[in-house]
Amino acid sequence: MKLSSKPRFTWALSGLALAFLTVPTGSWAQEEDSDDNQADKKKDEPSTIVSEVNVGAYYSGEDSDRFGKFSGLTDEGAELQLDFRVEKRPDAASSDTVRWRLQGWRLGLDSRRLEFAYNDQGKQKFRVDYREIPNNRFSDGQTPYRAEEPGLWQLAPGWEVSPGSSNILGFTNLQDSLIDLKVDTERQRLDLSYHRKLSAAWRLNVDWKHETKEGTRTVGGIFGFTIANARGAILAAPVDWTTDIVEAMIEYATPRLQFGIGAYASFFSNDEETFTFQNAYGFRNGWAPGVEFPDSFGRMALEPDNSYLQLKMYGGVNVTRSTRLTADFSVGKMDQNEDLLPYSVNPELNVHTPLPRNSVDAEVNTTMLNLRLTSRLARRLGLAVNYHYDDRDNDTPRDVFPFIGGDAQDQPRFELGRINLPYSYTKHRADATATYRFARAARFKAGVEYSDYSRDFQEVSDSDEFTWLAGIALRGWTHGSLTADVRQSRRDVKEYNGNAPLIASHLPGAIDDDEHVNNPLLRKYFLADRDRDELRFRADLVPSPEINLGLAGSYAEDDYSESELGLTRAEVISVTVDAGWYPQERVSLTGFYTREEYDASQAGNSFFNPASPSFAGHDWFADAEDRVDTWNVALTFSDIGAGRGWNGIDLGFDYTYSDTRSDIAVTSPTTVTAPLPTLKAELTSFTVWGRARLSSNSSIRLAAESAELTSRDWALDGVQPDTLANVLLLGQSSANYDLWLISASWRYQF
Amino acid sequence: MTSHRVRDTMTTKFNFWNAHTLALLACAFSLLLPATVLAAEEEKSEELEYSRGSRMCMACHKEGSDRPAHEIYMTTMGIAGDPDSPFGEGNHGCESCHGPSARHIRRQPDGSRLPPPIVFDQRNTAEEQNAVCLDCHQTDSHMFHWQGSTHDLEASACVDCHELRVADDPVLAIETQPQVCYECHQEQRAQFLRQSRHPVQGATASLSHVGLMGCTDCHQPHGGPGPANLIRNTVNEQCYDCHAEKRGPFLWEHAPVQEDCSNCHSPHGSNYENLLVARQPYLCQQCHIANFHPGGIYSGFGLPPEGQDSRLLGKQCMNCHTQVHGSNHPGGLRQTR
Repeated sequence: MKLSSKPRFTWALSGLALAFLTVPTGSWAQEEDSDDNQADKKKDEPSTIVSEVNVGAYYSGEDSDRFGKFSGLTDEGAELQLDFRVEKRPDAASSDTVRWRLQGWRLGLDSRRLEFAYNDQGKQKFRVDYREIPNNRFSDGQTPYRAEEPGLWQLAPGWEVSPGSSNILGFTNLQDSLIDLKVDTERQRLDLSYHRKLSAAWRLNVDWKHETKEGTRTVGGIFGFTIANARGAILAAPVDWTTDIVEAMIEYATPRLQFGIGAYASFFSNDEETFTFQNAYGFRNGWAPGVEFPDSFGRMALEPDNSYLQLKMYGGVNVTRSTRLTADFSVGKMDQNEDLLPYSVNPELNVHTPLPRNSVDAEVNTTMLNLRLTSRLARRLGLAVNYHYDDRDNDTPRDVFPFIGGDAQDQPRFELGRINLPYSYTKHRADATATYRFARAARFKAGVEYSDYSRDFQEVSDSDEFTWLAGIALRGWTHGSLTADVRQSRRDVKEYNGNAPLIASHLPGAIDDDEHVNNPLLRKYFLADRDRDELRFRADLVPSPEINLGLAGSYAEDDYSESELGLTRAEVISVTVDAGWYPQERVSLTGFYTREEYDASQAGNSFFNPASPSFAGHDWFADAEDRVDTWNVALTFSDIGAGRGWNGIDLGFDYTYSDTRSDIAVTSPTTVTAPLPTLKAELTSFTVWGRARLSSNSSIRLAAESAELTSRDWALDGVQPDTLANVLLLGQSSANYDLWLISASWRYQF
Repeated sequence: MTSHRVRDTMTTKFNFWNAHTLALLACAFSLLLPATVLAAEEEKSEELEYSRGSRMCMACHKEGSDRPAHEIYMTTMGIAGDPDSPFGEGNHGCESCHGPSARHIRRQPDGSRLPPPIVFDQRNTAEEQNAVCLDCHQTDSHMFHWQGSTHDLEASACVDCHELRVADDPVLAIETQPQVCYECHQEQRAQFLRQSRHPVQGATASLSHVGLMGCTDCHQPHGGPGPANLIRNTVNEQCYDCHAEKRGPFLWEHAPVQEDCSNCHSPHGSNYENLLVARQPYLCQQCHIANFHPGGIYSGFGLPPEGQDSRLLGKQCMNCHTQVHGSNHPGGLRQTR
């Protein structure tokens, strides 16, 4: 049985206890004051304090990181089940306005949560929420590396490389060096919020979020390249992150006028800003002398400390009884000024050009404006008009970096250096939607939207998109409702300059103006011309009070007809059937089935001649088909036997099935291809539970779950650490489990 | 073909300034429309009487009845000490929201009862129902964007999501909130049952899908400043709240990342790890078709036993390009370091 022993959990609990002890004390004092000041009010009656505890155990029949990915139920054996709640509610007849609640969920698991909420209604609110969010990725990885320090990984003692070998075949004692590797993270998040009503119209809102995330994540550590052939290893980089977010707003609100001003500040810090790893490979032709095991290393820069400060304002006014104008405005600045690492961690390399500056000095200014006018033009006609402005202005200095792609080669000539591209964009969007109520609960809506997008340093500097939409909603009938929406948009690109980023990232004259890296026929999907059609409908039918039925569907198609290479078409179809049957007051049978189909087509070209005046078109195609079927059926019986000498028993059955299959067909008119296996994840879960009320204030709950996940992933299955010749892998398998889990708990209310 | 031509015509004629003109014209029209015209369209309300208080209501709507309402006293609406509460001194309790209901209390000659003036079901339109709620809640901070928001335009009623007469409104707790949202957002319901997902409570009793975050951790259902009613201004600002390590700004940025996280990620759930919208290397090849490996043909021949291609196995493209969200290393142009 695993109980929490984490120090952070302890201090969080202490903080909560402190809050629990301090805040209500003040509030009780206020209750007394309130009585003094309102002598004519009803006399206080005892408030209601309700306490509830749910204690028991889970027992899992098998280890599974994936089953307990977020819940923390990863290990075979027993885990404590503990939930509780203590709540004070004011008595209905009293003048007491204070309500508070202390509640804990899953306290025996790594996904535990604690919350204290205090509300002196109409005066102030205070809330502390502590959550732990695990993310168990896998524990069956294997690596020959040892973490000497979190940010420094070295090879196992006795690591050997065959003389003259420059790939994994030269790792003579790899198998003996492998140790198990678990990759997971855990977030610990503390939210504090305070709301105070300062007067009838003024109020203050303050929120603070403190979050740490610790653990490891997989990264590809690269030692060097020769052309595009890398030598590397998949490693587990340390995650030791802290984020603090503070947001404070002061607001004024009357029924006619509201406005607020405040600030948002977010600070991210990383205790491990570099990750260094020993080179496992022997010398490779093209690498600088001395770059080989054991004396050389690879190094990457991990996520840098950064901050985002934002000034926020909003305002809203009811111009007339039927017309309202609102505005949001915010300006912000993102900063990141981490010291730049040297070009290489290996002193053997020839680095002739120093860094152009010592630190990154990155700065992005953001501006956002939303304007909205809503008006009821007539009793049946409404109009909403919006204007949106979003600007990201990246002021990071641009410099030439003669960069070393790995830690294995000498620095190239200055003229071959690359200039960083600080991306900026500006977006305008205007839209208008009119709604017309043509019957008591029947509406028609129609609208148009226009957006204009401009970008720096990208293939497309200007594009715009026009959209029209229409919809109908027939509601308000006892026996059902129907809604349908259609939307069509067209994105137009003024000009697509496929080599614009390449030219912009080189010194003037360093490359020819018509030089390309990407094939000039490629159109990146998020920039390309696009026609988008969307259709959505939903019908609900209630033929009798005992039965309800629902049918919903959506269709969306993106057509990139101007794209010869890249994504050319994408389509999504989704259909859902819902049903509920309530044959008796205490019996319910509900279920749904959803079918989703995602199709995407893309075209590629494996080689083009940049010197040729005409470039080759596609020579391969990839068509992806994702099919997802999701089922859920739940049957519940409530209060069985109640009033017949029993206190009543509830019984429930829940069946969930999710089957996802992805088939990718790669074909080529010029090259023989082989089919790829289906990517698959099939989840089946069957849960049966029962709850027996032992008395008016206690009950026991028993539950059993059988869960099975079968997944197939060709990137992982059967792949060993040494399967690839040039990248040392972790060899973890795709997620699979077949387990049963039982839980028993006793709930007592007092 | 015809519709295609029509669209072409519309697009070529519609430019940015036209959009502004349209918006300005619409604004001007709505502002100048005489209020007297609007007032003339309002229905005249009938003179109604209040009953003798909520105790009378509870005589019928008590615990165990067909329509129990006794738990209203356990909610924030039932706080008698708050003068702004419907049950505050001088207010009319149940009738603060349901309207003067003396007529409802009295039985009709046939023994039936007339409904109160406002009932929160299909007998009143969403506008009529919401007007009652907005009467008190329109000045709440979270209601600032309500008018003209998605749910407002969809004519959603407050009670479509909120249960007012129970002690704990399910939509206010992160464990139970998703089930309320799933009632309408059925695609998201299915997506949260996939293997790659955010830890939002799935529509299942399985303990593998416990809810550690709620829909409202990202969305403001009453209307938010961002797209899809996000709490923050943009998709990326929303994601950075929990993924601030990806905010940078980095020395070497990856343009689609800084523009919109959803270019590559499907936030509610995906068939592919890390919520990717498509599988590597094909996702990457939708934007990178260059000579040698970026443009290569990756078929089953790259898988064991036929072959071992580093773009198909392990972390695939990210075996090398691991810092795909941006790199701060002076050698990180290609996001490898």
